[in-house]
Amino acid sequence: MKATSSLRLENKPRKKIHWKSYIPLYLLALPALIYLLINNYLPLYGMQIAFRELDFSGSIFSGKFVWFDNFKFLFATDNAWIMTRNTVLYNLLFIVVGTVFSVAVTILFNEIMSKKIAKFYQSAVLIPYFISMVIVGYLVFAFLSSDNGFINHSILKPLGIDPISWYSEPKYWPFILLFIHTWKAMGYNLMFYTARIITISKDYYEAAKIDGATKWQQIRHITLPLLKPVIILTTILAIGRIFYSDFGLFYQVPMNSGALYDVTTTIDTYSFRALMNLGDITMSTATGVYQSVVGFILILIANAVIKKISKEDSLF
Amino acid sequence: MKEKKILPVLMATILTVAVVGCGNGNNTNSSTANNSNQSKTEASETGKINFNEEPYTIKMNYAVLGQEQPDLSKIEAKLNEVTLKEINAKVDLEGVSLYNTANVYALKASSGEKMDLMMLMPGSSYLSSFAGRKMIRPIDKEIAEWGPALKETAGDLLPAGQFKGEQYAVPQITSGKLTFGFTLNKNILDKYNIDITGVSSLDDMDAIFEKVHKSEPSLTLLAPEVSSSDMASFLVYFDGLGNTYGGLTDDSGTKVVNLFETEQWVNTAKKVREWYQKGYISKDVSTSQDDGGTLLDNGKVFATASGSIHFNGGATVPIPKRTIALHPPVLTTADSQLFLWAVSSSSERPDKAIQFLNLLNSSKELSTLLKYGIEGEHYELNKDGTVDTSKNENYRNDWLMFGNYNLMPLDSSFVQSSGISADKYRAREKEWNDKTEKSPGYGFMFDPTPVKTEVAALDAIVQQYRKVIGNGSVDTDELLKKFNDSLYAAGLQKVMDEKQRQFDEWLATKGK
Repeated sequence: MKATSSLRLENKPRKKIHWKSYIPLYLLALPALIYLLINNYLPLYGMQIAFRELDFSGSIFSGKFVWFDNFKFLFATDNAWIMTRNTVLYNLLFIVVGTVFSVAVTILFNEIMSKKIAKFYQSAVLIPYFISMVIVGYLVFAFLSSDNGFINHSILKPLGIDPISWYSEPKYWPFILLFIHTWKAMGYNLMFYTARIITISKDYYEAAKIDGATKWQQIRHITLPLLKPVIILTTILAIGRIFYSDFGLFYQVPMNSGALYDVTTTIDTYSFRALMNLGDITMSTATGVYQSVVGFILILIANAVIKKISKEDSLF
Repeated sequence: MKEKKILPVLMATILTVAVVGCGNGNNTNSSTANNSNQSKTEASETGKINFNEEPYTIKMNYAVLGQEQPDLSKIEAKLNEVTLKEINAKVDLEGVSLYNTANVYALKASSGEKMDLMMLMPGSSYLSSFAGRKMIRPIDKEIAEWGPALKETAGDLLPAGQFKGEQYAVPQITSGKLTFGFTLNKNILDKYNIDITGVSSLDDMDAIFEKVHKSEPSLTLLAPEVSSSDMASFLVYFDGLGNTYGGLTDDSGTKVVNLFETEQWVNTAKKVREWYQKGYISKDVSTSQDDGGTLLDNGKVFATASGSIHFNGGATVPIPKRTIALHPPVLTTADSQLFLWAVSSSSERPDKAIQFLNLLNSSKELSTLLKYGIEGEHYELNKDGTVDTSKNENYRNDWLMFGNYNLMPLDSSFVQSSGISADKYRAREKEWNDKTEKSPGYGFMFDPTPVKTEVAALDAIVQQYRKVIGNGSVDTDELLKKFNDSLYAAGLQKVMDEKQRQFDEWLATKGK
């Protein structure tokens, strides 16, 4: 009894010092915290307009409460199923394929002996990340246009194959979109993984080599386990955004072609199409609220699952 | 991508607004009340414009494409000289980017920023939603008191500015109503000796297209005038009474029908499909971003399905063109709503705003000033009474959104391109305007608020099907049924019933 209480007494002042010693660090973080508060937390108050009627005669918060009426348009048609399916499946596909590709390419780049060449490749794959989706849309159009597109005009025609009207054939688009997304996003993910890989001590590999491990064994037993926390982190963050989609990818790249809507409609493009003419900000806020609430729940679930499997890798 | 960012920005702005707005919300309300009381007493006492008070500054917002005109301040100075003298007020002109008007107005309204006159373009998209959300105010009283000239000049257009029986906006007086049909390249017509007199239906076009296609198989024959629209929609008469879902056709009387099931639309879509399959239409037509109008001027297509057919029957610049009208001109509410001048709910002096509109619509000097600029600096007056604006780059105003079109001189480039002399132009225009009928729904404005959920869902569906079917790029028979099924599944019948109900109510009050 006595022993424990004395232990507590000993602990208390130590904790205080502990906390105080962090004050300079907190001060350093203060501007960012204020920014977060203003930019990310204060607007949460505005979420209520998703549940209100739009009324400009008073302040924007003076509209009558209509609760979930503003959400109805999202679920009014059989589009509700299509857009949710597309959004989630595409994102899952992007997460899986994107991660596998990025990790594989990162490891390959890491094996390149000449650092100069490796740097060049790393920069080269990053370039697509900086190209606007509108421009990507036209690059794709240059390839796929029915009359003058590169594929129809310079590949299929000389081979004697009938031209394909790409913008009215939905079956090709899941692959086209996956390809473009991977092409565009890979460089960015690559940076994460490269940053982790270069911190892995060379000692591990040397020790492995002495023990006679092959290249494949080194990757499987050293590189991948050490990359695991970064992969899990990026995956959890990606899962949190699983109800969002890259508007440019799904709207600009297929040129908003009506024939492709079955495979290109996502929650974002649907709400854009539905509300563009109506201009009702309460309904667009409702879309945003819906996406973020579901995303938040998904993050919690993903984190809980990971916590079950391996506790030290979970986010919180 | 850009669109997605609007939400967070909006949220952030809304917050700031909420904090500021809560602080002084009551003050503005009471001051508005005071002011309107004041103006009322002034009016009843004098019945004339009060010149003893401090001149009020009328904030006037309108849509611009891109940048504000460099010489706007000069125009404003000149304008204010007159308005101070005539109505004891100054006018502050401020352009708002056309593609952003809805957002900018909404933000201005919710932040309590000063706004008096605002131009809604196209008004058909905004009038009901702005009026329904009390962003703009009824102006019946002000017009009765301060708008005698308005009633005279824009009198028969005024119903187009009404919503639920109250006047919310003043329609702009513009040039005559346009109709639809085809615009064709005259050089090609002449080259193959094609006579287009008497051509009045889609079937008549077959022979023309066939002849040109045989001689120039690689030339694209037909494109929609504007790439965001489709050909079938250009080639069918339909008064949508506020939106696309249910409206009046030529023979529906006052019964609201579904456009995409009407014989005219279905047949037109099938005809366009036939032309598409014959190779007259580009395979990329539904994804192309090039407007047919531009392609026609560059000689890249032979004809466009066009919604801008005027009485002049064609043009000479930049290439000679001939037009074929498929339908006599019919004026719908939406036509007169292209430019609407509305008064913001937050306006402190709606009376001044109306006084200014009244002045502008009755003054040749001001109409000309706002449209063309200052004589000698921005335009030269020609001998035939038209103006030449070709040398000026600092004040260009391509839309007829300011002033009274009937009072201002004609633009010489416009008259010349029509191939008619200036004095004949006005006469022919008048003849055309007299011929123009009004739709039975003229003056009716559908209020979509009770069915906005359905309208949002329908908007998304129409974007999926309308363009590809109307341009013939997909199998019409197969998709048309799917299209209509999806529309009904999303609540088309409910929207049409609501529209019919509102329309019948309106007809009943109109009959009284």
